Amino acid sequence: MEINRREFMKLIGGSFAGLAIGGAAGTLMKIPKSMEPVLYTGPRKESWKLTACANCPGGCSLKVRLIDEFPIQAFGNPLSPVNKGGICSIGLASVASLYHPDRLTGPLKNVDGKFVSITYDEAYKILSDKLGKILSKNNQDNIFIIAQTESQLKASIFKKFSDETGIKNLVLDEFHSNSIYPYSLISDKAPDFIDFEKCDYLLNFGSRMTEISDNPLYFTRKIIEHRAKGYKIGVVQPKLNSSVAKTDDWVPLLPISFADFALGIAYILIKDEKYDKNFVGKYFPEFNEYKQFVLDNYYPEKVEELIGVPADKILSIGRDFEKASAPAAYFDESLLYSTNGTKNAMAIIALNALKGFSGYGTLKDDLLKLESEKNPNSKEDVTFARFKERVADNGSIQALLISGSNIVFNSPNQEELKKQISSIPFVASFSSFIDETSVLANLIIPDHDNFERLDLLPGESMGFPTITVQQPIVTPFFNTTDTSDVFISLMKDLKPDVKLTYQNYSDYLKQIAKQLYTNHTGILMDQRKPTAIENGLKKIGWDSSQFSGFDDFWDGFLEAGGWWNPYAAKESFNPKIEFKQKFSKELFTSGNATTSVSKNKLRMNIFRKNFDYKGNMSIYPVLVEQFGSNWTVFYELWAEINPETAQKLSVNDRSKVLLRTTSGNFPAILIYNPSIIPGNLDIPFGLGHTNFGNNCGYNPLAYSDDLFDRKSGKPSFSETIIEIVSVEKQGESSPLAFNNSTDKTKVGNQDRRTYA
Amino acid sequence: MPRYGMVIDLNKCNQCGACVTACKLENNVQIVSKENADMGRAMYWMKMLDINYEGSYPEIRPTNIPMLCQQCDEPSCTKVCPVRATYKRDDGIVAQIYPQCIGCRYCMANCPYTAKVFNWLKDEQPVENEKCYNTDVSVRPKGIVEKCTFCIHRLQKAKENAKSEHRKLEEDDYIPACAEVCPSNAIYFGDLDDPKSQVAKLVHDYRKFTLQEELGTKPKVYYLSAKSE
Repeated sequence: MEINRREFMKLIGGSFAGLAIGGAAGTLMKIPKSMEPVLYTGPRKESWKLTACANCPGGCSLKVRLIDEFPIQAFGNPLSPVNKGGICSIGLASVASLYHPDRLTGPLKNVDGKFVSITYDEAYKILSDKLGKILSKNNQDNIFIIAQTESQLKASIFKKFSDETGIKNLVLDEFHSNSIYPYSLISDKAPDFIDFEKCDYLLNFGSRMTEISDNPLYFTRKIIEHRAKGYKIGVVQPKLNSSVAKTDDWVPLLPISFADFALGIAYILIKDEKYDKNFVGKYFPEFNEYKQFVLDNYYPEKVEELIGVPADKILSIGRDFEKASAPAAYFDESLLYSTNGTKNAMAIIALNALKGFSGYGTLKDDLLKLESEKNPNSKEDVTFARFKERVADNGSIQALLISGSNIVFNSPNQEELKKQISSIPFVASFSSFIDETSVLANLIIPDHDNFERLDLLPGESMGFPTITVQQPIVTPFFNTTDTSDVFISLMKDLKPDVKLTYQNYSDYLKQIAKQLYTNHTGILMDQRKPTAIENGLKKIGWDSSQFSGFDDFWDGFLEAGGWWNPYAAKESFNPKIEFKQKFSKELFTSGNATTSVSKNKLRMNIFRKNFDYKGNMSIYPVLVEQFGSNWTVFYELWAEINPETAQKLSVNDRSKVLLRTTSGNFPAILIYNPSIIPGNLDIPFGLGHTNFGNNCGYNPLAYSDDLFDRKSGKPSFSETIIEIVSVEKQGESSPLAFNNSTDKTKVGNQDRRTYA
Repeated sequence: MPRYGMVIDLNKCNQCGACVTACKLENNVQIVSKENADMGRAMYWMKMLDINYEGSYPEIRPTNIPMLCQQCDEPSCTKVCPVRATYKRDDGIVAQIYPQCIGCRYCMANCPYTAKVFNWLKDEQPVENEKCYNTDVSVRPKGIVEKCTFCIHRLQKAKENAKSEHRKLEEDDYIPACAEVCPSNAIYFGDLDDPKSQVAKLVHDYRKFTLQEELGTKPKVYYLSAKSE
């Protein structure tokens, strides 16, 4: 008889007869012992607190409802200019992570394959000694730090640490930095925002603007407004997702071909001589070479031949783009998930240059002076591609520090990566959970939950600066430590001569906030948008702030949940574009295009839904259940196929199929979807964890070919060939044959756990 | 007496699903296991109606709609309940009296919108969500029928707040969770009989339609078509 965890806990709970329901809950939920009396006998007093959601790059402000001292629900803060009271599914579900039974309650040390609890001091000493030893031998280059964070300030601490200790191998996975990374290759600066006041045509290349992006809720509102003004939106995407649903033109295209499409659009503008001659003359010194290259190679019929998009479609979108006075061809981090990622981005940047980046804007002044920016040498970008190279070279990495990133789950070829990470002599993780990556660590110093942490989340994507405060809604339940504080302590211990103006991360955040206070700009998020008269008075120096000092400002700042500056000065975005390479097809295409596939083979297009950001969905039960509910598929992987393709392969709608790639076999439910690109099999990313939260379903990325964008190191989500190897016969109650032939060893599914 | 109704603008809705999540969490709607979901026991008071498409590939667009109890003025569910566990209130909300329900499911069978769900199981949320119960909403026992109530508990609370502040209930005081969280502000809620309310104005929009109008159930959930022309 199999007993799952819940039943097991019930059996244990059953022995304590007479326990109240609340008491039984207490044995299951992760809350500290000291809080149990409040849970059982508290006065049930309601209160509300503000914080920020850090589950995606958006930085929405949350209004959290507490009963006694326990957060129970999260809503959007109506006074925040970022989300204006709206909130997405992830934000709504976010409270559950605080009580997750798998949360780590304190530091752990891996002893002979088993994690044992240790004190923070012990854990810190192990970490500090290990790094100290490597640094004393001047082996800085043998240490890697991989950090995923959506806080630019936390990122700046990692950068500062990297600068001070000389550990240059810092792989920073932050959405905004990733999004502007391609600009750093060919341009001297990146735009801050799409100027929706001017922009009259938006061409979106692969961004899930309204789902997971720099600011999904703002983009959701702006796209509605943009359409209401009668302006068009075109989207180039491999899937008809919710970011595409309400747009005028959808070009179904795999990311591998985005650059060809962008160059095809550029051809129309150049041929019609509708480009900004003034801008290209001033800021695009290689324009004539680029022009000749485009005219020679990317006429519409040629592009149709290359990527299958009808020449008429290219012409009509090209004409829409050229007619617009301020068009914006937009991309973000999502574009990088292809072997052609950064090359696509370069073609799109060049397309924007043809219209003088007129749909974009930039803020005149930097919002904040961050710690890392004081060091001019901190500009070097190390991407995941470099880590891939080095980790494959067995023995060349002596220590790996991982914060906030579940790189194993988010990578193809997972078994190999696991082996490679396991072979690193010292791996320290700062994860709040055991996940597919932290399970490989020698040491885990768990970070706080999002509702226990203080941080500031700046944003500029709305055309004015905002800072949303992420603040502790509860005092940390367990013996967890803010990872930024660990790195600040390490900095002080490993480099005693380092001069820091702050003692801990909270101090640092206060210093940052002081810049806002001393600049006397902007307003707190508890106020309505100022009127034109107030705006005018502000410009001539009138200041209505009533704060008696910085402490007063800080208190108000926390109470309001943020700050914004509707008065910020903007300017047009005029970057200098320099490729410094001969224009050739190789500059824009990687040559891995899989536009045609042989009989019975399909292209696997892994898509993300708006419930999951980089593999974090599985700890939120409501999201896992809802994930496939549109198709009435629950806790299982599904694969969407165009009915015409399916009929050619003689597979029925909703049949259970076994899929095969070169990396193994996995089952899925086949769903007919007429919007899928013929020849594609679209499979969602987010399920299939083996060590983190709900382990239902399969992770298609684990069965993907190990293909990466060479520059950014992001894995390709759409270039693996897949085939349907068998279909469950109707009437069979159990797909036994599937279980036998499913290659579970590939993803280590031995310990699969679902809710019972 | 107000007559509460809802308008959902399909031109704004991008099917993000936040309304579905908000409804589930606000009303303590049970999150079921895979085994139960496979038996058709997944419970949603609000759901994205199965996707339909307009046009043909590649000129194709999805046309799915957020679907909830239509809060009919002539509800067919109330008429068949043998124990009067479901009834229409004076303010138009079709409500449920959970302790009175005997679980016969006649109301489910008679609802043309399949908006009602049956509690097959004793309420038991996953561990992660056990502390996230909304304390304003009772959990429903096994064997009874439940459905969207326009977050009626919020109305009760709003009335109490207004009373304690010695004022009348105002339009923004009471709004269901789905309308509150919608990122694209596609869901409007208010008094259909108050000519100043936004819903009262929107139900006269040329894009307006109700589901299965021909049945004469007179739904108070209106949709605005996605077509802008």
